[in-house]
Amino acid sequence: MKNEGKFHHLSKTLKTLVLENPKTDTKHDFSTLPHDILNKIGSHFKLRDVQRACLVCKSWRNGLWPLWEEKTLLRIRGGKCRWFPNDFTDVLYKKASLYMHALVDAGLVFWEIHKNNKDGDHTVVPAEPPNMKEAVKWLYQASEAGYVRQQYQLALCLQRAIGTNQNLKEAASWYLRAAESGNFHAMYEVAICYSSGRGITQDRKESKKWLKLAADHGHRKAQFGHGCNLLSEGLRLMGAMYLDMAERGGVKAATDVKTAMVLTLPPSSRESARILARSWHPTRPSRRLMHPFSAFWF
Amino acid sequence: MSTSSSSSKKIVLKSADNETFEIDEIVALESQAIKNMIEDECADNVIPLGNIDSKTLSKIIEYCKKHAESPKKDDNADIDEKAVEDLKSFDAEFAKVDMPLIQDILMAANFLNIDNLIGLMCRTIADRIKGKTPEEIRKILNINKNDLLSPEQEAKAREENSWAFD
Repeated sequence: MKNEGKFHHLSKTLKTLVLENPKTDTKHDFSTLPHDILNKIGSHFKLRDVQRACLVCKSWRNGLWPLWEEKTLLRIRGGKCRWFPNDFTDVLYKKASLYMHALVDAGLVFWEIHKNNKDGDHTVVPAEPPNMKEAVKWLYQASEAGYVRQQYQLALCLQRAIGTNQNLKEAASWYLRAAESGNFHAMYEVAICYSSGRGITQDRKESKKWLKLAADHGHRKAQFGHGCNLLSEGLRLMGAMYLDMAERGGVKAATDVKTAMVLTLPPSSRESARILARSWHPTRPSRRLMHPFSAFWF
Repeated sequence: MSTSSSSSKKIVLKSADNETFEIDEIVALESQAIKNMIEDECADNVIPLGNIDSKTLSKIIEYCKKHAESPKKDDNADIDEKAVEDLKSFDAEFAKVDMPLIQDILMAANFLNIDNLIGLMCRTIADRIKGKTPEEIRKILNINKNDLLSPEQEAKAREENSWAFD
């Protein structure tokens, strides 16, 4: 309509040329949109639409690229990615120079690749053996920056010699750092380190302390171990409670120990152990090392 | 003017094709750019808008009027649902225009810094190209053929986009 008004004085051929060739209408060319507006449009998109929009033209590709990276990273962090091209590492490197969080992403991504490869199924990438060395490098940086989960993963790498040489001493110290920050997987590992003297001076008392902490934070195997510890100390009721919880968490061995043990409890105590276990809540992960359950001891 | 505000100071906007629009100050204040101009007292009686044609400007004024009249969200908590619904349907109706006009409005809104309108136009464009292939998007949006990706670039981009997501 607008064009017709504008061009009514033109000859018919020119008119059809102009109207039927929208290319010549350079004013209403959406490739000239400023990038901030483009990103506002893109904010309504899912990843697939962003991918398509990136293919529309050069200007859109440049403008929407950061959004694409961001959405892709989000998907990977959500664990939705099954495979990706090898050169994606470049993207991570570039981002890593921008922010700290990218370090965490990088570490996690390599970690996931490795895990997928070990599982064996549905893995396509990467062509070379998984670059765990790279992962460990990132995990180091993230750990030193204080990321608790990465500290735990780094300790695992060091302990199992994944992507680096085995170093039990260092592994133990990273476990301890992660445990002190409230990671209950790390607490369990610290307990094992102390009890076996792996990379740290053997100390049964410390081991029990960490095992109990891990159990109170909800670690199933720790609950089993702690329950057994209590039983061996003669605290049958509390022991039964922890075993009950471990059993419900799926630790099979707990069932056997429990059935054997419950028979030695008087019937009234059996019921109270069950009630105690049911009303139990995991200690909320915290930086506190003293736990609030001490009033329970008898 | 339909608004009956007592201190209705008038602002005059002049479009690129020299058409003038007289509007209430409160309507003009929807535009952050004009608001700044007025606050800094560097606005004369007539504000020339050299890059907005009269068709676009009249649409924008229509939008600003409606939004200036309806109660603001943060004014009070008990704004009636009806006003909100009314505004929504107005927005939906307002967005039913062709693509060139949408772009004109969008660029003008960007220039005048009218947040709501920018958002509305962006949402409209996004809705229209959602789920479309790049070729369809180019057609809908009249993308300049000179700005297309080279075949190699496109192949690379497609490869980068080919990740498998669940």
